[in-house]
Formats: sequence, C-alpha cells, structure tokens
Amino acid sequence: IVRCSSGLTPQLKSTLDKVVTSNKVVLFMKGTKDFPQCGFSNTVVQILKSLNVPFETINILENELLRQGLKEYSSWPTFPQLYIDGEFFGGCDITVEAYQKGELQELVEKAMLS
Amino acid sequence: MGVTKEQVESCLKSKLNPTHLEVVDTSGGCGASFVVEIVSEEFEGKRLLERHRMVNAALEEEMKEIHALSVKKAVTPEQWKQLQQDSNQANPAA
Repeated sequence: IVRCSSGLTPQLKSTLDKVVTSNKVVLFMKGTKDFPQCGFSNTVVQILKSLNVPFETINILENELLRQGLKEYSSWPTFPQLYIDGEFFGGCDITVEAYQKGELQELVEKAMLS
Repeated sequence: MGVTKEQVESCLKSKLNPTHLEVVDTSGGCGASFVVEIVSEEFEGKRLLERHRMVNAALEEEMKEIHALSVKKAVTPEQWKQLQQDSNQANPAA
C-alpha cells in the first residue's frame, strides 16, 4: 500500500483558490463530464447538464495529491464536490436535494449574473 | 478491517443523539457503503451543508474506510413529524 503524503500544501491551496473562483460552477469528480466513473458523480453531472449552465469538471482520479488535498480544502471527505461562485456547495446528496427543491437553479442563476 | 453497520450506528448514536436513526448497508459486497437517515435535535438551526458536515465529522475515523456514504435525510424531530404526516396524506390508503 502506498501511503500518500496527504495534505494541503500552500501551492495546492492557492491553485485551488484560483480554480474555484475562475469558474462559476466547478465539479471535482471521479471521471469526466463525458465519462463519469461513479454513479454519484454521474448524478451531479446530469443535474448540471439539465440546468443548461456552463461548468468545469476536474477528474480527481488522475491526481492523488489533488484528491487528498481537496478533502482538506473543502473539509469534505468524499467526491463529487460541487463549487458554485467560489464556495463549496456540497456533495451528491445535497445537490440532489437542492435541485429537487429548486434551490440549485436559483443559486446557479444568481452566480451566472454576478 | 472494514466498517460495519453496527459501528456506524453506535458512532452516530453516541455523537448526535438521534431520536430516529436508520443505517442501511448498501455495499453489496464491494466495500463499506451506507445510506443514513437521521433525526436529531442537534440539526436545529443548521443548514443542510452543516448538518451533513456534522454527520461526516461524527464518522471521521470510519470515513477513512467507508467507500460511499449517502446522507439521505438529516432533519430535526419537527421536520421529521411533518415529513411523516405528508407521506401519510400522500398514501391515504396505507
């Protein structure tokens, strides 16, 4: 077993700051938006596609350091992780519930206008 | 060593003092995977993200071994009562 020296380095933190603020909607996920590799990630991709908003996806399976660092950055232990307007919004369950209540649409629209 | 449903239950019981708790093992053999439904006074006045964070934090040690955790419901006793009334009305025959 390879134990990764996990942790959020200052460089990684400033890179993540840039990534989540330079796009209105960013999804850190397993796989890509065209080829999700996990059901939870796929669910969030389908929701975002149905909202018709531009969004970036970042495949955490390709970078173990990123994967470990992000858990700390978001204080969230699992993936996918959705960021809206520079702020951590939640994982799959939160996104689904907000979508069902219409809150996600509202928030994304607000982000697009800001 | 994996994580069992009983471990998840006892951990959530001791840390979040729930009035209702349902943990379902959904792993089907591929590794620890759970769906949680939890009702607790401690969620009072907290947003959904904060409530989920409380569940994650309670299971911090277990999360290292848990493959997938789905918090299907994290509600207050008041909201829980409302939800059950609503579902009774939706199924008057039940």
